[in-house]
Amino acid sequence: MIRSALLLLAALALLLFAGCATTPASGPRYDSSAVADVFERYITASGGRATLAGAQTLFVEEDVVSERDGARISYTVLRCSTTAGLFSLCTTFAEPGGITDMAFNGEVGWRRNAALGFSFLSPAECQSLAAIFNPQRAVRVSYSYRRQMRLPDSVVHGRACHTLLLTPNSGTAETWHFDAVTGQLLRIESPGLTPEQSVALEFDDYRIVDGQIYPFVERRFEAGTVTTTTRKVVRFNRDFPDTRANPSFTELTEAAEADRILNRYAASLGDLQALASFTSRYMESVLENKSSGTKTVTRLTIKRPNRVLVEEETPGIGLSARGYDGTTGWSANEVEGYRELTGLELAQFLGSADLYANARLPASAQLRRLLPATEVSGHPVNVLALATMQGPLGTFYFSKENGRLLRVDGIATSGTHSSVPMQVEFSDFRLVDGVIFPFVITATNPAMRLVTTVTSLQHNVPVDDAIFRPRREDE
Amino acid sequence: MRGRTTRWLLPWFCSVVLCAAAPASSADAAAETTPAPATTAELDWPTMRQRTFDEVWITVNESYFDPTFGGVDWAAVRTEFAARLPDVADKAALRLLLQQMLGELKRSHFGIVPREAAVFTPAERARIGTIGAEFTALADGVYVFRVHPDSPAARAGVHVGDAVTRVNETVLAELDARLTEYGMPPARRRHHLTWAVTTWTRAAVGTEFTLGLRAPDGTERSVQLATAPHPGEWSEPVGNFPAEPLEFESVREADGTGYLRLNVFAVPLMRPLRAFVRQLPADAGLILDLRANPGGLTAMAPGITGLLVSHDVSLGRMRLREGELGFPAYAQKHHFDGPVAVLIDGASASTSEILAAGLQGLGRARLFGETSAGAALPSAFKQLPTGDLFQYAIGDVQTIKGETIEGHGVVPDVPVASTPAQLAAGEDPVLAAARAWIAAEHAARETPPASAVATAPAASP
Repeated sequence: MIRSALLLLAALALLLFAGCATTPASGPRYDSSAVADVFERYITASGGRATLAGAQTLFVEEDVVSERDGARISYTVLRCSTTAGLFSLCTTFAEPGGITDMAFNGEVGWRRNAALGFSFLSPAECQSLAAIFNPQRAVRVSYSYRRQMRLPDSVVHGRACHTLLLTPNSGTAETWHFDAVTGQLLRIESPGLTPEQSVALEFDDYRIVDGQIYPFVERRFEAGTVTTTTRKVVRFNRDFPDTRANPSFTELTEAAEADRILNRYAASLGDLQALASFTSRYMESVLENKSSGTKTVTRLTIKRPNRVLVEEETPGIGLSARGYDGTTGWSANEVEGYRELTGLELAQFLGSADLYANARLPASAQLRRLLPATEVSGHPVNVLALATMQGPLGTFYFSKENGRLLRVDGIATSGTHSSVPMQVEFSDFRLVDGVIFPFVITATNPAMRLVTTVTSLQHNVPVDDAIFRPRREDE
Repeated sequence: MRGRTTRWLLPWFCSVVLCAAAPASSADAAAETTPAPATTAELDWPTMRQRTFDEVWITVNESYFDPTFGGVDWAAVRTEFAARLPDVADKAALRLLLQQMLGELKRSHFGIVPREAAVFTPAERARIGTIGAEFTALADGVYVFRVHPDSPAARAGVHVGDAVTRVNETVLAELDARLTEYGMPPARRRHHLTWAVTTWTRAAVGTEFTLGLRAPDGTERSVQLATAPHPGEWSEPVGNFPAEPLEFESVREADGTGYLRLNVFAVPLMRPLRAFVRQLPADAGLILDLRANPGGLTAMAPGITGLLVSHDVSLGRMRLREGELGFPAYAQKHHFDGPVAVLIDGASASTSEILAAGLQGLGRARLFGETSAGAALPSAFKQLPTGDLFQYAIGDVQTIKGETIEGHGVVPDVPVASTPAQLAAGEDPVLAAARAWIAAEHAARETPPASAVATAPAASP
């Protein structure tokens, strides 16, 4: 699923500027003069120390487009930031997302969407965003990495580059490529904690703005998604508009409660390190359609980083299979024959390839609304309406007893064609390889009632990549 | 699974939503000729009766796509029919009561199928016999449309073009009059009568009955028939949807035109259909005969469409009580580009109508024949406490033009009505019209544009 670019940007910022303070602790830490030389040329290419030091505020208006396999999400961002670490963003998505404000007033950071909810920005998020939005970013980069090494020169898009390996206080080392002629930063590569988290950033279209030389085009490459940010307006030293209303007491208390509920949910999953360590999953289940009496045997195979195979066998209909081999998404069944999955349909399908999906909910739920507590199947539950900045995820019901997710009310979609409200309940929780999974999932809509019962679940099983390849027999 | 991400459930669900014409509706309940043997029940009869009644009423109450029930006071209907429950003594009477209650909705795809009339195992295939004749509705009645060689109908002297006047004691004209009084629209009436005759003549193997016939010259006669086993393949049951006898006909005509006919939409027919379409050359034409096809698996409509289009398209959408499901058709790599003619008649129903309307709306096919049944509500089947099957509509189909098929039917581009005399003479004016159109399409493609002649250079002096 394509996630908010800002969230991804924040994650990258965390990797790039981990441990960054708003003021340098004790001067630059260069491993060698070769490293220092690269940084100095970069600072010069950005406008020079004097100009950079004079930048106190930064105003940017930009358009962002995220694309993957033909699926496209676009939004606009207006942001203001100061060297003191204050910032204010206004992100506008198409409906139902609408406008989300993000801000940090020096004490607390938050996201607010009038319809979708409110949440805190974590201290790490505030720090990362403040760093990445810092008007003096170019001159402060060198303070953010505890280890800095010069690597052999490289080539990026035909341009010779000086290359540095920078290791933050936490996270994996990054490779930075600077144009050997101009000194401009062209590319950053971060392998991430998992292959799915590897990220590359590219910078282009440098222009002079208020004495600084600033990239007007930025591209981010992550797990098949390309996010292009095109800056329309960049200004330094504009007045910082303090127009965002500080959080109310109600917002603060409810956001704190939402955080508590989601943290408890994450804890209820079991051993998250074990979950992050899974390299494959094989699951068998039976999906019973109570409305029509059909019983479908489903076999799901997932292999890191992103291979997935779903086979479904229904008496009277036959075998249906969908898969992704890292390059091609495909579907094959008796009725449609063979076809390739693209765009939104592929993006939705690949969501099922995420071994870590269960744990991502707190991070994905950027906006939250606390709803009245109630009961699900006799169990007292806390209730949260969760959303991303693009729109609602659904209403989530968490057990008061143990934090587990017991029910979700949401919209089930298929490509752009279908949208069906569903109520999904989870039950029969079992511990498998250190992680808690529901073994019965009941999905209900007035027109249908679908009960999935897991019959087998294994992790880290050997999987031959050949099984994910397209089945083109009926092409 | 999170929030809006039950994605893997929806495509699968779409594939098992069924759009097959319902069995005889409530107005026809009196004409049912199949007695209902008593079931072995763990429940006492009053309890089973009540639970069955409740399940039917509640299912409609909760799942019917129209929360207003088309203006019907569904709660009042329950009160009215519940009051009659104590007098219902057996399954047959309960079936009749339920059919009448469902009939208040005046919609297709609501009905009760006796379990003993449904086929779920090979051993049960004897429950559905055949006389080897197919029927169609013309303007003034139900007519014999096709007689298979060496079938009970052929041996009994049933001829193409005969009008069906009576099945056992049921006089079709009287039934038609009752349906008219009941307010059933003409299109649905024609479909209902044809379906009723078809259903009655599919009785258990060995069932004897009398057909009243009228020849094209007006001569009336009666023939005695007994059903025989279906000679061909069967589909497999899909959940609570029973197995169906299959008929599939594929012919390459002398001019290269491909002719396809399938009697229902069932998965086993998809593979030979796909193979046939793929072997058609680009300069051929395709005739898809959906006459007397009552429907079947809804997903086959987009599946077949995918063989006929060069890019992904939509056939419309299905509106549920909450939400909607689309009918995306994904273009197949080896699709057919030539002209496509679709034949429909008053007995073309359900998935036949969805496919025909979809191809027509896309401009991909030209429709020939008569307005279809107007019975296109995707439905599901569930088993009742009595063991009978309950078919109930869960969605309403809207074409890509936003039009509803239910109650209206699909109007052909080229209306062609057969006459009994034409049927009797072995003529098929609908098929002939389709063939002529395909020939004209090919001729138009091969004829150079007129301007090329007009601008020919003058000869040099």
